[in-house]
Amino acid sequence: MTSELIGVAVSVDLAIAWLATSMVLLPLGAFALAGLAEIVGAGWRDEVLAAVSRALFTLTTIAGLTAAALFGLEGGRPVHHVFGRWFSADGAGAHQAYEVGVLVDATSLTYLVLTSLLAGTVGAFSLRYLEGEEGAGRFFRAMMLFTAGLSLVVVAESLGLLFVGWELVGVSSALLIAFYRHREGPVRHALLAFAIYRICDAALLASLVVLHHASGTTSLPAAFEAPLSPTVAALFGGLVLFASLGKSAQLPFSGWLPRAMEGPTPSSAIFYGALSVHAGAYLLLRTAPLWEGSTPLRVTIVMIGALTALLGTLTGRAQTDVKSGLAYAASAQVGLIFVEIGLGLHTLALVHVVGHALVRTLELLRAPSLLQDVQRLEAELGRALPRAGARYERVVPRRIRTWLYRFALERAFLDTLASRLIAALRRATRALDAFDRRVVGAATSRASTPGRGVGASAGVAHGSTSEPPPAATKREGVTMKRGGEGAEADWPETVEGRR
Amino acid sequence: MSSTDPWIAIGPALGPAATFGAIVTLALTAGVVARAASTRSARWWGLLGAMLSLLLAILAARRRSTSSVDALGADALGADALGMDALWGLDALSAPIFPFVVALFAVITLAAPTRFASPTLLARLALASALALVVIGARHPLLVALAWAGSSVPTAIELRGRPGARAFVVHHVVSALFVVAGLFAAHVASPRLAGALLVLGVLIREGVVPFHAWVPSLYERAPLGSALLFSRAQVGAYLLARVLVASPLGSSATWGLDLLGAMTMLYGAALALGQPGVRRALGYLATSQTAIVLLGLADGGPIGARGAVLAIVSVGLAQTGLGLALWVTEARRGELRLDGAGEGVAATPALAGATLFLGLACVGLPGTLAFVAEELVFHATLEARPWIGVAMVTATAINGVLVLRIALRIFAGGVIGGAFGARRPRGGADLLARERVAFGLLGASLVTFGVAPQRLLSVGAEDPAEIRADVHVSADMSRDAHRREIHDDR
Repeated sequence: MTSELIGVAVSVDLAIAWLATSMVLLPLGAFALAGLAEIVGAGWRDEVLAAVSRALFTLTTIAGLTAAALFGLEGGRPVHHVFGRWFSADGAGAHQAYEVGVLVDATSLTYLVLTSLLAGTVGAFSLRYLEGEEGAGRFFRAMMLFTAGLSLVVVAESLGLLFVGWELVGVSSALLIAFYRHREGPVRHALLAFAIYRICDAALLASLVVLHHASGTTSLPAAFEAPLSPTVAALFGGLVLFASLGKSAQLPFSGWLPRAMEGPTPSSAIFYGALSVHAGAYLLLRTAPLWEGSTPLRVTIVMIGALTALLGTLTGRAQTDVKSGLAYAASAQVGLIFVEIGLGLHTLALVHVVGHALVRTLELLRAPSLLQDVQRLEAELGRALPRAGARYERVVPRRIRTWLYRFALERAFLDTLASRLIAALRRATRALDAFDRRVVGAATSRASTPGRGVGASAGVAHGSTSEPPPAATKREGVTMKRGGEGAEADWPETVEGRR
Repeated sequence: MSSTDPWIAIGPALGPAATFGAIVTLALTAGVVARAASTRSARWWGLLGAMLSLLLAILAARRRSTSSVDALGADALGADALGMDALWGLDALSAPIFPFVVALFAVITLAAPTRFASPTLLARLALASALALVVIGARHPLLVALAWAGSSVPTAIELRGRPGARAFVVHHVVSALFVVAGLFAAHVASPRLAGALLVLGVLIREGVVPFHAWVPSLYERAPLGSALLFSRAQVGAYLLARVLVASPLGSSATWGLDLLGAMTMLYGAALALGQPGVRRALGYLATSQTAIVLLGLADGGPIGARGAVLAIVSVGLAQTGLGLALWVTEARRGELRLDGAGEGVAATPALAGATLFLGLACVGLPGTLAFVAEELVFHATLEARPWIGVAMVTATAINGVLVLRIALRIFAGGVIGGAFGARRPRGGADLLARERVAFGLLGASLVTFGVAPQRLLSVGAEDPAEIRADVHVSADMSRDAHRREIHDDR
């Protein structure tokens, strides 16, 4: 009898594990098939992709809800299942294995169901919103990759596997920010967001190795069993926190979020209002048992969250476009979620995540109809809509109010600081480059003119092949930009882009 | 190998013969291609030769020596026998790299833009590949030394009379002198001196900072195909692996190699990101990525060594693909720059997609082979030397931004000022059928081995401790066998 019960429990666990895994594999498979069809020149029509997306997210939502129901029936016991090994290398006593498995608990199931529910909702909205628009298929493909990546982040049983999903989320985010790729702004902003993602991803990678070094494993359930020493916990937590700051647009990396709104509204809703922006909070919640013993780290999380919430609220009030305003509001709310996580209120943080994601998605999806909504509301009220928080503004002395307005308009001067930092880095890189060219010059009797680009050299290179050099050696856009302000218009200046 | 293996019946000499055959096939291909009447026929002759050579190379890799890694140095110089077995053959270290070099030549030949790929250029590429194969497939140090010195000659000829040629020649002559002296020293002097000379020669060849000056210059001046084949085959890294596996460095030398590797990764990444020209950026990216192999090999551990061998193959394939995509784009548009907005993504979506994917694949996109390689090297390095690991992850992060920058700056963002400033999309024709095949094969290999890398990992380097034991045992055994033969003759 007992063995039968154990057998049933094991098979239910396995069912939950497979259901959770299907929520990663289904979107990933659909993305792979759609991508493959595109590569062989038989790309799916937008309508087909949209229909596939609809079916896909319906299936994943059903899978998520079924897994949640089974999880509830099993009494909310976390399910840990390892499917097998991706790769391994060993020898001389050293061993490195990359295992593939899932860890399903209340937090991950909540995120998992939220992900497919919102992806499905936004997908359905996008059918109309992007109908007939160039690149609609690209949008659906990127969304499939994003959903697969985020679901992997949520269910991964090890920090190594989580990192894989984390990277996929970053790449798909950048591609969607640059969705309107014929325009310069989105391209700049995608580069800025991706640069911040990459810097923060490096911290996640380092945290992974710190954990492996301290616990001998990156498997989270195994690591939870052996608490880290306070110093290691602080180091590990600090790195995880740094990784979270980028994805969740917390200080000092909050500047990219409003710029990410350059993408189509549905992607803004799902990425920066609902799901991606909460990935940092999830990472902290998921790894909390490993770092929550470090009080200084928890204080740091609370301080960063509170400061982001304060600045986000202040800055958002001075924005003149709805999506920027919503972006700062989202950043502020995630700041509050960070405060809750730092204080150890994990359940409250999870509820806050769900509530905020749903409300923000609705707001962002309604953003294109804002004027109509305001007019309708004002018609119903019979007067202009009251300004939220106006009474608090009156409490602040006029002089301070003016200064605060300027402060908010300048986005807390974070962009200015970032621009200066980037300019300094650019100067350093140029100096290094000039030094490097001088070294080449010293080593060669006929050195090229410093600062000269590829043009002349490319021409020389072409000559060697006894073939004519390319007809167009200077493109219109390049000629226009060289030497003037265009020469300065390289990627790091993106922070100045959206004023 | 089990007794049911069909190859066993063919005989033990098959491995060395196949190794020699692959090299000769490529050398003959060079001769045939040089006489071709047009680029078209040169390309197809080149491909035919590459396919034959690749088949032989795979056969040679399958029939690799049963000992893990053969010694290369003192004993072999004194060997009396000069038969096929003594001169040619692959082992655990060279088995994955030998076919990889042939594959590089094949894919470059297939994708090289017709306007740049003259029969002369393709013939030189074939010759350079054949010489690189000699370095990898030869067991006699004299052959290795000669091929090492000769393998840079075809590329030097490409650069003849151009700025940067002298830097290239100076670096590679010095590198050749060090390697030849190192191999000679292994015979007559101390192994320590030999190791130091060999490592120095290899560091110059690999373009490790401060010996990197010729790399961006080569990428900037030479036909991209030549530059890619010369630097991405990573013959230097292979030789370094062989030297370090046979005689690991002391702690101070490891520390020095670590420092050079970390400096190279960061320096290359920082300078690549700041470049206005795409070719130079690619050169610095190559410099930065080379250091991954160096760091993987530096500590002599098994995980790092496997990651390093895998990185030679994965980063080599991906970066060659990225370079080819850029070469193909250059053939359609002229010079490519990164300091302005790009265009053409609408006209050339497949080309833009290939550039983006191969770019991300060379910085370790999850699901590709480079991810596995970098993961192994990261773990090995960060576990043992955290400060080096920090440099690695930082440089990799910067390189990731660079490849996205390359893809977006070349293909996107061409309309300034929104829809009102819209121009007609330009960018030339999208990928041709042969280019699609080349990029498709590269992408498929990177993803297939990225998703299922274990088979490749087990072909790669074995445990260095066992390898070193094998080297000594095989050297002792060969000496014993030699003595026995002499005794029997008497």
